[in-house]
Amino acid sequence: MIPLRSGPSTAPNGEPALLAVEGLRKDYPVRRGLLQRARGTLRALDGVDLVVGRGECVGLVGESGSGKTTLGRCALRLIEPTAGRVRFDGEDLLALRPAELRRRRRRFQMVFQDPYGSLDPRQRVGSVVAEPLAVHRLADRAGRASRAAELLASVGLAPELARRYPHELSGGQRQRVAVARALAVSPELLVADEPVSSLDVTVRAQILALLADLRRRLSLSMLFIAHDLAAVEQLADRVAVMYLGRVVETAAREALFRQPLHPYTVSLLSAVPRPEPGRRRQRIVLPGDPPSPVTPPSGCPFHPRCPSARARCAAEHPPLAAPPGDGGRLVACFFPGELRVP
Amino acid sequence: MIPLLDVRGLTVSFPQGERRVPVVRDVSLTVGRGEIVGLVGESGSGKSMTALSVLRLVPPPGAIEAGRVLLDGVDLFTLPEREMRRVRGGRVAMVFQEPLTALNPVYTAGFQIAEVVRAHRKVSRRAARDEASRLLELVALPDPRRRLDDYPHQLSGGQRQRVMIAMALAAGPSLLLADEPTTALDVTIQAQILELLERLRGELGLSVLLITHDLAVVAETCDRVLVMQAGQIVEEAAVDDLFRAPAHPYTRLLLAAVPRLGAHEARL
Repeated sequence: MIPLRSGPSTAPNGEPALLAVEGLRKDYPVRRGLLQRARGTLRALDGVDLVVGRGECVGLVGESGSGKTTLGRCALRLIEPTAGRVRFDGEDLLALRPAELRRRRRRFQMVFQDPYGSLDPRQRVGSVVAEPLAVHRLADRAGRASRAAELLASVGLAPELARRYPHELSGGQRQRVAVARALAVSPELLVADEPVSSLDVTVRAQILALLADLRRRLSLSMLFIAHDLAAVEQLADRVAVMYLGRVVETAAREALFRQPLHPYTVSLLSAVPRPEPGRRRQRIVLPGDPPSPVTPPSGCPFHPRCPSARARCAAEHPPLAAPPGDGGRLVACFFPGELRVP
Repeated sequence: MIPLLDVRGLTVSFPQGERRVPVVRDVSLTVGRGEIVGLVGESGSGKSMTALSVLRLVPPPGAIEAGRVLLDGVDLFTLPEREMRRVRGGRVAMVFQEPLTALNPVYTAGFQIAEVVRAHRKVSRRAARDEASRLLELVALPDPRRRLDDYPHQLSGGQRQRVMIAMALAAGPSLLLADEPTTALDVTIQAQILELLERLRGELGLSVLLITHDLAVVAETCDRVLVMQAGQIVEEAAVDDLFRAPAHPYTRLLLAAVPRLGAHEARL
């Protein structure tokens, strides 16, 4: 049973969450002019709550500038949030001292979007993959070599590739290497930030299948960040939708894709082109661009583009709350479900 | 009626050591008046090089080895360079994937559009500026008068792509070569640009060769589609037919890999 409203540190299944983010905020000063004085604030994250349960894969979707990458990085303290809490397995990550944090990093790892930029071009693949073992002093030289071969095999690469350099590999092979490297220290949580976005479609499908397979085999928990809704639908158990630094809707995958309630989620789903030419549909084409996080609109951040906005939406900010009769999901909208997929 | 664009037996090669390696091999395709034709393939399949060949803009050391490109029956490969310059941006215009690198950062949007207008028509600066404003209105950029004086960095990705399309339309082309025009854009902005292309086809009778890696984009906007793999066209079909009954194994592979919403439910 899904509880009526999951607390910030409990996963929707009622178990304690592996990762729990509460009220997370990240501000960047906006510097202008000759003296580079701070002239304003870019609020990249504006009070985000998010949990990832053990063994759960949460898909984080949103468009450029919505804050999803910032959230992924703040959640692993790769960048320092301005305010809020991040707890990993109950422990406050933001309170840890650097040495402690470094030790804890074995338990959560990250895969980045660009497999061309994230691998050291001067290191052979074998040492790229085994380096985390050396950093965390988990194996000696011989142990590292055999573990590297094992890891390469587990991501579907031939062990012989260990002697190659990253530039000798294709984009898909490199992303497999990046995944193998992240898995080297046997983490419990993997944060994957757009891991398939720079890949061709056929390769993309293979990497998604690999991630799904690894999740099952290793009981990995995952925060899967993507702008590609179809990829998220394939991999995630639960989905959180971000807009302008806030989570505007979160729900179990089936519920979100079958019946999105936030007008932004509805528009986003309707905008995705479908490979079904017979069924040319009405699209909801949103006017304009997302607003700037330096000068956010009043009230609901989506109201200037929202097809069903009313006076209240410009005045008040809707909290992220469970809509009546639907305890499994949270929506930040005064009129959830009004706009429907055409 | 002869097609607007008729590419026949196009082969383009690049040197590799002593040999020349073909990157486009014996490609033939047509685009009819008011037709939107999709050219689909993965990275390195030769689709962009095919479009560049139409305008004779293959970057050296690449070279067109064989083939003909007929625009309205006129062979572009035999035109003197002087006349070819009038074709480029005149009768055939191109829109690129990355509007930020394709626009000049030190000139305003209005100046860059007016420049194209004046390159192809003898008009005053003021008339060219008015025309730029009209073009920005045509591509549905909000507040076009004000946007004329914006620099590219002051515009969003979607607005920049609208400016690029306005520039492409400045000389009243009959054919638009659109190379991944929505790939760098978010999905809600992509929907805006695709809607714009369809509207321009309807209002101006524009023909479009839409180069993309995304079969879903093809399904929603194109009439006909050509699938390219390793420099060759492996399949050509009306869009409905291609999706209903793909004939070539590579097309089937591509179709199977297309991310599709609802795929999870279908599998259950």
